[in-house]
Amino acid sequence: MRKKDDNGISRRTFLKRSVVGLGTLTFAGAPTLLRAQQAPIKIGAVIPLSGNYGFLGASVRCGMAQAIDEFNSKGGLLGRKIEVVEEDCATDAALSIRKAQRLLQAEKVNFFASAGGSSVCAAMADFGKKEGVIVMSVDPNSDILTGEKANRFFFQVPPVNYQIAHTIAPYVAQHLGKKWYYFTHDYSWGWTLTESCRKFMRENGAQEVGESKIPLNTRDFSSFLLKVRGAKPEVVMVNVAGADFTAMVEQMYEFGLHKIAKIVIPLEDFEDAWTVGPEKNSIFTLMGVEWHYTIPGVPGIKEHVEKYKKLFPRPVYPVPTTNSFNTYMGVRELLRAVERTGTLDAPKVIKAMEGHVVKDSLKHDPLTIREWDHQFVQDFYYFRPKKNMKEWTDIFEYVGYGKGMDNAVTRTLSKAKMEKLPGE
Amino acid sequence: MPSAIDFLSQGINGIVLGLLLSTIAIGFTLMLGVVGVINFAHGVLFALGAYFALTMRNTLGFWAALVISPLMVGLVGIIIERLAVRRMYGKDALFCLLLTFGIAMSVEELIRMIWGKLGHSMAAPLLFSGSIDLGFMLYSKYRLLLAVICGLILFLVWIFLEKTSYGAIVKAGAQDSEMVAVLGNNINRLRTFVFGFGSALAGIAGVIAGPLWTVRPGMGNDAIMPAFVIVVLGGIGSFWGTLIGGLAVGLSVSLAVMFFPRMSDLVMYILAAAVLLFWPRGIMGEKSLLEE
Amino acid sequence: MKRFLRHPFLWMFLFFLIMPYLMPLIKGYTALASEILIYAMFALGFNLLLSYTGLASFGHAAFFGIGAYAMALTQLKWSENLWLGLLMGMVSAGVFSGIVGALICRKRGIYLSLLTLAFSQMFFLVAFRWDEVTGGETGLTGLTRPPLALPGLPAVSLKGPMAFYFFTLAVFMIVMILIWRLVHSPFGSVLQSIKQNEMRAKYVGYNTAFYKWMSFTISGVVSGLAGAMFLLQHGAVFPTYMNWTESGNVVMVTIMGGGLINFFGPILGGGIFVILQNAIGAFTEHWLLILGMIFIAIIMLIPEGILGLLKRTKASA
Repeated sequence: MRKKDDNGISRRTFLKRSVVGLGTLTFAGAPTLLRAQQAPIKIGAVIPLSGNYGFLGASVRCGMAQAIDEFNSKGGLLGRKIEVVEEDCATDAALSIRKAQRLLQAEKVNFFASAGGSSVCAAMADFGKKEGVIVMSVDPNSDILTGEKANRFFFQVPPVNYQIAHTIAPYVAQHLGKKWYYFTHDYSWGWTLTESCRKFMRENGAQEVGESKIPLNTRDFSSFLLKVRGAKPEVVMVNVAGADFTAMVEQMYEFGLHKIAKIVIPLEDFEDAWTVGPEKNSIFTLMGVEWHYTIPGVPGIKEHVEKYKKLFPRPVYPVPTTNSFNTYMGVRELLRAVERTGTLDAPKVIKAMEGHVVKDSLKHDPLTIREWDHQFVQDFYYFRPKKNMKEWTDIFEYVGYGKGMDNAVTRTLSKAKMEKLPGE
Repeated sequence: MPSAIDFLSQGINGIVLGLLLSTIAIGFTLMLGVVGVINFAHGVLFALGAYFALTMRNTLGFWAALVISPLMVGLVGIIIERLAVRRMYGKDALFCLLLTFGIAMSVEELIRMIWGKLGHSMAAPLLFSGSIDLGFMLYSKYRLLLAVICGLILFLVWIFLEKTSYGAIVKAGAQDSEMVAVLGNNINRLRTFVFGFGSALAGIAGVIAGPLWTVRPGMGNDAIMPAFVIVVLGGIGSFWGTLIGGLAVGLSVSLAVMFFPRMSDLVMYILAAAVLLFWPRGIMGEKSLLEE
Repeated sequence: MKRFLRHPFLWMFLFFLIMPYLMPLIKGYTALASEILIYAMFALGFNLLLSYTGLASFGHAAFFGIGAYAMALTQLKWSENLWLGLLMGMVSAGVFSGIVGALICRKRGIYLSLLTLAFSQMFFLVAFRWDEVTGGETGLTGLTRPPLALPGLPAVSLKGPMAFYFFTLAVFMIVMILIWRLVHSPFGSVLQSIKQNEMRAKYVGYNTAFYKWMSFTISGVVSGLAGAMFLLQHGAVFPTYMNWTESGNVVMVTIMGGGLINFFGPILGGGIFVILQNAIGAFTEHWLLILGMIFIAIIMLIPEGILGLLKRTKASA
C-alpha cells in the first residue's frame, strides 16, 4: 500500500531523491572540502623595501624564504603550503598599520612578520594585540619593544639595547678609552641605546664628554661632526642607524673623524657595512654585530650558508646577513611552534613558544624564548674590521661575544607587563 | 658655551650650506616671478639632476656630468612647459600649481621605477674626497669645492641678469610680467626660456648636492622646502633676496645645531616668520601681481 | 515629498548604507569604507575654503593632524570619553587654524598658498621633534575606541568595523548637512562674493578679512574632526599625517572630484583617492604614478573635475 503525503510524492520517491541529492552534494562538495584543506597558510610580511631601512628588505625576504623552505620542501606545515604576502612599509609606521590592516582583512593572513625599525614594530606590536594576531619582530632593537610595548602576541627576535650596551661597554672601557662622546639618533631606539650605554659606561669607570642628538633624516652631519673636536673624546659611540648611518659614515670619513678618536658602533648590521664598503667601514675600531657567517666554532653555520647559496642563486647579498638570520630564526621558530601544537590557533601557538629553548641557535649558546617579555634571548657578538679579507663579504674579524642570559635585561628592571589571554 | 673656534667652523659650514641653498632657490624664484607659478616640480627636477649625473658619472666622469646633466634637466623643463604648463596660463593660478604638484608626484614615482626605491651614494670627484686640515679644524674638501662652484654659478646668473639685455628682460619680468609683455617682448618665449633656465639651475644644484646628501627618490623634498622659505624670506623674483635668504637660512641652521640641535630645521621657519613681520613681502620683495 | 525623494542627500545616504558591503568587490574591507567617509568629510570642509571662498590653502593637513593628536592626547592623559575627545579635536584644530588664519587672512593668491605651506610644515616639524608630547617619529599608538554613550541609552561598543562605520556615517551626514546649510546661507553668499571680487565686496561694506578668517577657521575645525575620526579608525597618529604632500593631496582630490563647481565633488574625489590608494595599491606599488597621471589629465582636460565632465556631457546630450 502506498502512502501519499499532501504534495503527492510517495515516500519511496522521496527517499530515492534524497539519496541522489545527498550523493550529488557530496560529490560537488568534496572538491571544495579538499581545496579548503589545501588552502595555504599565509604569513603577512610588513617589511621595508624603501625609506631609511629600505636596504634591509631584501635580507628579510631571504630569511623568510629560507625558513619557509624548510617546511615547504617537506610537504608543508600541517599538510598545507606556506605562502608569504608582502607589503612595503617604507620604514613608515603609519603606512605599516594601514598595510597590515589590508593584509589581515582582505588577504586574511594567519601571522605577521614585521621589520623596518623600532617605530614600525612598536606600532605593529599594538596592532597585533588589538587584532589578536601573532607578530614576529625581526629587525629593531629598541628596549620599549620588550618593555612598554610587550604583549602576548608580539615576539622580539633581535637583542635589545640594554643587552647590546651591557655586552659592549666593558670591552670599550677596558681596551679603547675612558672619555666617551655619543652620537644619538634622535628617536626612541637611539635614546634608549645611549641611556643603556651610559649606565654601563659609568659602571666600568668611563665618563661622558659630550653628546650630539642627530635628528632623523639628517642629510648634513657636518655641524655635528665639527662639534666633536672641542670635546676631546677618546671614543666616539655612534648610536645611529639605517640610511642616516650610511650617510654619516661617508661624512665621518670625509671629515677625518677617525683621526681624532676611536669610533665604536655598538650595533652594525652586515648590510650597513656592505653598503658603506670596506674602505669607509675601516674607520671603526669596534662593531657590535648580532650575527655573522664567520663566527668561529659554532656548529651549523656552514650548512646554513650553503643552503642559502643554493636557495638564492642571484641574491642581493651573497651570504646570509644579520637581518636574514634574525628573520630566519623568528619565522622558523613560529612555524615550529605551529607544528608542535598542530594548530593555527594564536593562544596555543603563543604558549608553545613561551619558554621554549632552541638548541640549533647558530650561536655559541642555545636561544631561549623568554615568557615574561617575549625576548628571544641569544648571544651578542663584537668584531673589528678585517685587514686581510679573503672575499668581499669577509668584512668582520671576530673579537668576542657576550652570553645572552648574562647580559639581557633582568625581570626587576624590565617594564614588561604581559596581559592574560582569553581563557587564562 | 661653545668656543670661538666652534662658531667659526659652524659659520663656515653655514655659508657653504647657504650657497647651496641659494643655488637651489634661484631657479625657483625666477620661475615664480616671471612665469607666476609655484613650481612644485622644482624638487623632482633637482632630483633628476642628481640621478642623471649618477648614471653618467661612471662613463663620463663628474665634471662632464656637471655640465651635461643640467642641460638635460633644462630640456625636461622646457618639455613640461610646452606640453603642460603653457595651457594653464590664461586660467586661475591654482591650476598651474596643482599641475606641477601632479607632475612632481608622477616624476618621483617614475624615478622610483627607473632607478629603484633605494638610495645610492654618489662619490665626490677623487681629487676632492676626504678631509683637509685647515689648522683649526678638519673640513671636507668636497664642501669647499661645492662652495666655489655654487659661488661661480650664482655669479654667472647675476651677470646674466644684470649685464645682458635678455637678462634685463628676465629680471624685469620677474617683477612685473605684464609690463614686459606690453613693452613688446614675446612673453611666451620668455616664459619657456625661464622655465628651462630655472629647471637647469635646479638640475645643477642636484648634481652638486648628490655627493653630499645621498641620491634618493625623495631627495627633492629636501630641496623644495628650503626653496619656499628662502623665497618667502628674500622676496619673490629677487636675486639678492635669494642670496641673502639662502645665506641666512644656511647660517641659522648651522649655528642652531650648537644650541638646539633637535629644532635646527625649525629655525628657518621661525626666521621666515620673524622677517615677515617687518617686511611682509620678504627682505627685497616688491609688490607684485602675485598678490591677486 | 517628491522633492525630498529627489534630494541628493537621500540617495547618498542610501548608497552609503550599502557601501561597506560593496567593499570586498574591489578587494577592500569595511574599515576602508569608514576611511572614505572620513576623507570625504575632510575634503568637504576644505572645499568651503577653496571653492566657496577662493582661498587655496596648502596647509590643511596640519589641522587634520592636530585634531588627531588632540584626540589621542585627550584619551591618554585626560579622559576616555568619546565626545570629549572629538570636541578637543575640533577645538584644538579650531584654535590653531584661527591663529594661522588671523595671520594670513589679509593676504591673497600665491603668497597665501606659500604661507600656509610654511606654517603647516612648521606644525609638522614640531610634531616630528617634540617627542615628549607627540611621541615623535614613533607617534602615539595603541589607542582603543571608547564606547558610544548617549544619555539615557545603553553604551554601544564601536570596536567592530561595522559599528564604527555607522557611527562615522552619522557624523558625516551631520557635517555634510551643516556645511550645506552654511553654504546656502547669507554667510555663504558673502564668501562667494569675496571669491568673485574681493574689492567689490569690501566697497559694499563687508569686512572681508573677517569672513575669510571665519571660513579658514571653520574649515580648520572640520579638518580637525576628520583627523580625530581618523585616529579612532586606526588607533594611532603619526607626524606624517601633517606632511605638506598630504595637504597637496586634499587640494588635488577636492578639485578632481569636481569641487570647484559642485558641492558633492569633494566626496567623489575623496572616495576615488582612498580606493586608488588602497585597492589599486594592492595590485601595483606604482599607484602614485597612476594617481599623478589621472590628476594631470583632469587638470588639463577637465578642470571642473569629474562631476564637471558629467555636467558637460549632460549639457551636450
